[in-house]
Amino acid sequence: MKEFMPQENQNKKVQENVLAISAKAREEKAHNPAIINATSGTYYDEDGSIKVFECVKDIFNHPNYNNILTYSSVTGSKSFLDAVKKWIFGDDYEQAYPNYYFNAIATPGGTGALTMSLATYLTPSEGIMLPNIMWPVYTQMATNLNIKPHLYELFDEQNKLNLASIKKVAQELQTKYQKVALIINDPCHNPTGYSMTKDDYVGLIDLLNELATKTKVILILDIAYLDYGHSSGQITRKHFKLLTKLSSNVMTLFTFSASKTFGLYGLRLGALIQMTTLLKEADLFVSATSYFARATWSNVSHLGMEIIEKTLTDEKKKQAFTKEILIASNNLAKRAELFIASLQKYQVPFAPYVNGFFVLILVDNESFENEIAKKGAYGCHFGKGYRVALSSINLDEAPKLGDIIGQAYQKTLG
Amino acid sequence: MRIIIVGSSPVKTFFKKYQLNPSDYFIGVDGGALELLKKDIKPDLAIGDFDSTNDFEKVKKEAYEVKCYNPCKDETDLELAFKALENLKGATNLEIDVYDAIGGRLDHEFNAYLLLAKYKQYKIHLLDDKNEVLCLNKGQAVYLKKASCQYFSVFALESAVININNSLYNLENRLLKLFDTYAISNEPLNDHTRAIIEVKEGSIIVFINYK
Repeated sequence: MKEFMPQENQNKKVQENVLAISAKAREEKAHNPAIINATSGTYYDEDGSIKVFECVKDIFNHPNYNNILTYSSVTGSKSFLDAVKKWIFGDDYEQAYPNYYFNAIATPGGTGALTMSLATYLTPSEGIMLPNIMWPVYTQMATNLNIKPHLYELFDEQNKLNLASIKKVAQELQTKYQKVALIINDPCHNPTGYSMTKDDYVGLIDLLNELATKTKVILILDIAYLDYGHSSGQITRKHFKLLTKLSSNVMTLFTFSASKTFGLYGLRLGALIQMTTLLKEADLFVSATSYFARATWSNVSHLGMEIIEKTLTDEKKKQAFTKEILIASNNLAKRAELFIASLQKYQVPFAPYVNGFFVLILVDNESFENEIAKKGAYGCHFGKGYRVALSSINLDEAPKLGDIIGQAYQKTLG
Repeated sequence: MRIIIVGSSPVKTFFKKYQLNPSDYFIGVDGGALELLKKDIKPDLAIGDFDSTNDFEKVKKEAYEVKCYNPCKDETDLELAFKALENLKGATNLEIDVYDAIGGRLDHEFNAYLLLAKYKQYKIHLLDDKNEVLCLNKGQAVYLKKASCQYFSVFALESAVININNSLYNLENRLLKLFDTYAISNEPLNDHTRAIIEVKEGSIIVFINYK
């Protein structure tokens, strides 16, 4: 019998449970403030309220309805895109990167940027390399486009980026698809909190250049958490300069999230930025991504763009915002320090954490998770581990949560 | 990143001399595309009329981009390669090494020198086993070590004012006119300091002969 929905779509189910668990934890916490909600990839202030940057309040206090309620252009406003590029690559990026075009298009969040990058540069039946420990939505994005995920091991034995595994999987893709595309989430990898070192970048660049002697290589850098890396992302920004050593046969695509940097989670705003030395590729990017945007979401939040544009093009506001996000980033580091010190007392295994919103406890056990929930704390089951969102707890809760997890670990597995 | 352009002169230098840097950008000019492939390097761009290529099918299969022109054209294949440089962002600030474009037919060699002058906005080096030829414009300089440089010669592309220091025949703010030949066969003076050729005004072509 013919059905309304094709079979392949009937098999599509959202695997991620984070948003549902997060809603549950938020609801419980509303009734009982003692509940520790470590589920959400949203930055909460110490008082438990969502972080609202001053620049955001400013726009809401002085709304220009003719700007914020009208349609944006398909690509997003030029001033927004210029502001984002300068924010990521520096005010002097055109001088600092004289051999590169940086084309950008506004997207609905980092998710939109990732989906657009896959849809634009890969065809159904091609493959994408994803880390074995990852935000599961990567897989959904790929399979939704009939692109096959191929997993590489994220960490080697020294808990560094596993270049040997990337090489092995990439060579398989070269044989199979005559193209390599991979996603790397850096800094503050979700869910582990790992941030790549300079050596990781140098090794990756050498490897991609080696691969690029055989086929084209697409490096998709998910930089959603850029501003929560070391010194509010300044170290990673220095690493980006190393990418100028990449062959022209490696195209780098950056996926930026305004949700994380500006706390505009619900406004759904991000950007996809292409770095290439080739005029032809630069032109193709502009036409193909514009086409995709028009055919899917049409255009993005004008309100979100207005907030970012107004903040980053006014030097005083930009400095104030830079200070605010540095404070938030440093506060997150303090939460991490307290939480990890507490975990270490109980010898709880966790993935190599450097900075960012999340810590991944390397325990895959239902009783362990239930034990934590019984004590009024919520994190998320995540792949083969348990993800704790430091972004949504405060400094008081951080060591308490570490103790709860430590005790649950000792009780169930210790 | 450097830009590597390989021509199809019968004097093959690229294969012997080039050390692979995978981040370089490779342009194969006509049969030069096959020279690249001999070293297992896929041309980023293969360009020309391919009238002197004995395996164009292989070029089409392996090169990332192929631009094939009718042989009845005004530009030489090498000029087409230089014209294509405008498709690379900031190519004027990259070093461009051109192999296998000199040492064969004299008309093609002369064409290469003319193109060097015509496209002097780029940092082009014409290379063979023992020689390097480049243009210098106002404000630019080149430094030469005695350990590697046997002779160097300088000619004007237009009226130029030049300095040459630490050499056998030094020049100070000296006018060098088109067709002047007195700045031929100079040498770095000693091992301790490098010879310096500086252009104060105009532009020159420099021939360096290596040991």
